[in-house]
Amino acid sequence: MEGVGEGRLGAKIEELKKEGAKALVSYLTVGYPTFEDSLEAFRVVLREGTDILEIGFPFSDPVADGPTIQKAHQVALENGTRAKDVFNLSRTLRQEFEGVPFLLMTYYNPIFRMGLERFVKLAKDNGVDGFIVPDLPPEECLDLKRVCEREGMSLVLLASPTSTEKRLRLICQHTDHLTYFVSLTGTTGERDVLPLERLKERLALYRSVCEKPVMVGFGISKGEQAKAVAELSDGVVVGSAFVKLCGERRSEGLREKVREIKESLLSLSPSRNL
Amino acid sequence: MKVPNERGYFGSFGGRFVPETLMYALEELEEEYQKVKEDPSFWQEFEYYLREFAGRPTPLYFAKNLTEYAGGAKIYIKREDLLHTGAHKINNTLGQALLAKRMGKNRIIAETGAGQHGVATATACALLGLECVVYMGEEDAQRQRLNVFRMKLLGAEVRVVKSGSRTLKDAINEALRDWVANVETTHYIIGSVVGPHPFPMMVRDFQSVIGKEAKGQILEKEGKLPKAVVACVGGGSNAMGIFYPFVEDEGVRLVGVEAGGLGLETGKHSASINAGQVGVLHGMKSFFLQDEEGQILTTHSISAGLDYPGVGPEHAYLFESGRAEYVYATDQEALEGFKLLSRLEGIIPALEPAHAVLKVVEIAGKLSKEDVVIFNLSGRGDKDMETVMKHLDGEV
Repeated sequence: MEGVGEGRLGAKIEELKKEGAKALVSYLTVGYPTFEDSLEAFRVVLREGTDILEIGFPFSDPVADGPTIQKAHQVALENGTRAKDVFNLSRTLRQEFEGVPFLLMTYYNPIFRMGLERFVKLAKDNGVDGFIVPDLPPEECLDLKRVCEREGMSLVLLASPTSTEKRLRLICQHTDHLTYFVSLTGTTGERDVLPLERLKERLALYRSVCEKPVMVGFGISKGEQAKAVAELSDGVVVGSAFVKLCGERRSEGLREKVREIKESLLSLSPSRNL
Repeated sequence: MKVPNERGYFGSFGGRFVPETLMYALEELEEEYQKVKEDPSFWQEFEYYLREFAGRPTPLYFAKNLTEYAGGAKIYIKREDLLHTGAHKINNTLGQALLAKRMGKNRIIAETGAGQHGVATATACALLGLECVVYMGEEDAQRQRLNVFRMKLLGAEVRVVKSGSRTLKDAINEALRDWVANVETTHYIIGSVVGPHPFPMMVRDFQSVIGKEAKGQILEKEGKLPKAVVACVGGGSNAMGIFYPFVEDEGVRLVGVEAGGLGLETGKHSASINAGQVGVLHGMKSFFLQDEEGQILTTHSISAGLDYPGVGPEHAYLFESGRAEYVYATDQEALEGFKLLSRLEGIIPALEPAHAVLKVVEIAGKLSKEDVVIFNLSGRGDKDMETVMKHLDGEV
């Protein structure tokens, strides 16, 4: 398989697989509520055992996001957060956390406008390992993928409960190392109840056509939810719940939240249950 | 060349840049639309409602006084302002609502800027018994509060959008979020030739009834094609509707007029072709007003219907290929055009097409009396009385 085993993301996936561990993928938005606060929050989620980090690039029109992350983007931009801040942050964190893969989560327009080549190189030079682009479906991803391949960067695609078998095959073909599976039809943000039965069914379909690991995100904010979802998948993505605590400058609350989720994932780990 | 291609591209513009959750719905919509495209019973039904309910065909009116004023070519006005609900928007909403009904999607969502598309959607939904939710930016809901009331009267739920710049762009964001969450039961009636494939093509097809009629009417009245067809462009649905049947008639100049707001140099405008760059937003690659890092800029126009930072991909394509030209008119020029058409012809235009009035006069003035120019009057001005009163009070 192309690319697997190369670079931090490939290595991390191999490591998780070997340990039979469920991954914690953590998302935060750069510049929310301020640059310094967000940098500190990124450190917290990394110290508490984040396996893969998603660095949120603020955008004026975050259509796939719910109210919490929309607000984070808006405030970050009002604070004057620019591309250079995002890259500064990733460079700083890279010096402190050598082994954790960093995925830049951004809408497509900033990449497109700044130039695919230039953007990908900037990201690479600042310690980023790949990209997640929520408004870039497999049909439209080929230009970016070509540049990523040339630079040894990964492009992680999203799948959704509405993805048909044919679409899942297409996504599997183009995504690097893993698939980000959206847990529900909707935007990001905490949910009291997740549609687990349907998710189980859709993930079974995914497994039947794709061997790449699958991380599930959207709506997960509690340890028990993370556990339930991780039982069906290879890991969970937590965003809004962290972003919210970060926005409230509740550093201790954020630490506890990451621990709660991490603990619930570790409880599924075979080494823990020996 | 026939556009768009199978991936929804008009040259290098268009495409389908949306979250994965919507991809299947767009595939399904495209498939369903291709099916009805070949189904005469669909078009019979569509034409029935256009004729009996919306009031088509609209007149192509010879504007004698405006022609004398311009002192050149004969100016004909395509009277979309006479349609039911007061603008061309109803052509598209009837088409899409009929399609949604065939697809078994009984919940409709829409975005609206000026409120015309919202009203037209609410109207089609009332007619066909569909549930209707309209997203409208808070700023627009204030400046177009009569339309908010009309939509409610028609049975629609109006959801006021308070995020971002609180105008059309944010209403589209919010409608897209709703669609992502409810895609299995809901059809999104986009109001312009924008959005992911197949919307730009489909809306163009439904709106092209304007150009087809105008072409037949001008050939009947004058026995020749016009030298120019002029229309205002925000997202661009009225312009695309009247341009499309003339695209292959090379002697016909196609002129789109964007909203120049307070002037391009002030940055307070909505002229995305004149002052924007290529980008990706709302599912499409096209021209957008944005900064050098791709953040979408806040726009301004006196007319809510043109207050949008992007333009339909087919316009971007017509611009790039040189087939159509795009100019702009400022708020002030729109107000001048508004007064001029009201006084000279007894027709009070909506502020959106009012942007094109001075341009029509200018173009006609440079042509000979033998020539003909068509101006698409996309809507009437009733909805704009409060706005115009604020600007012209004391003058009138």
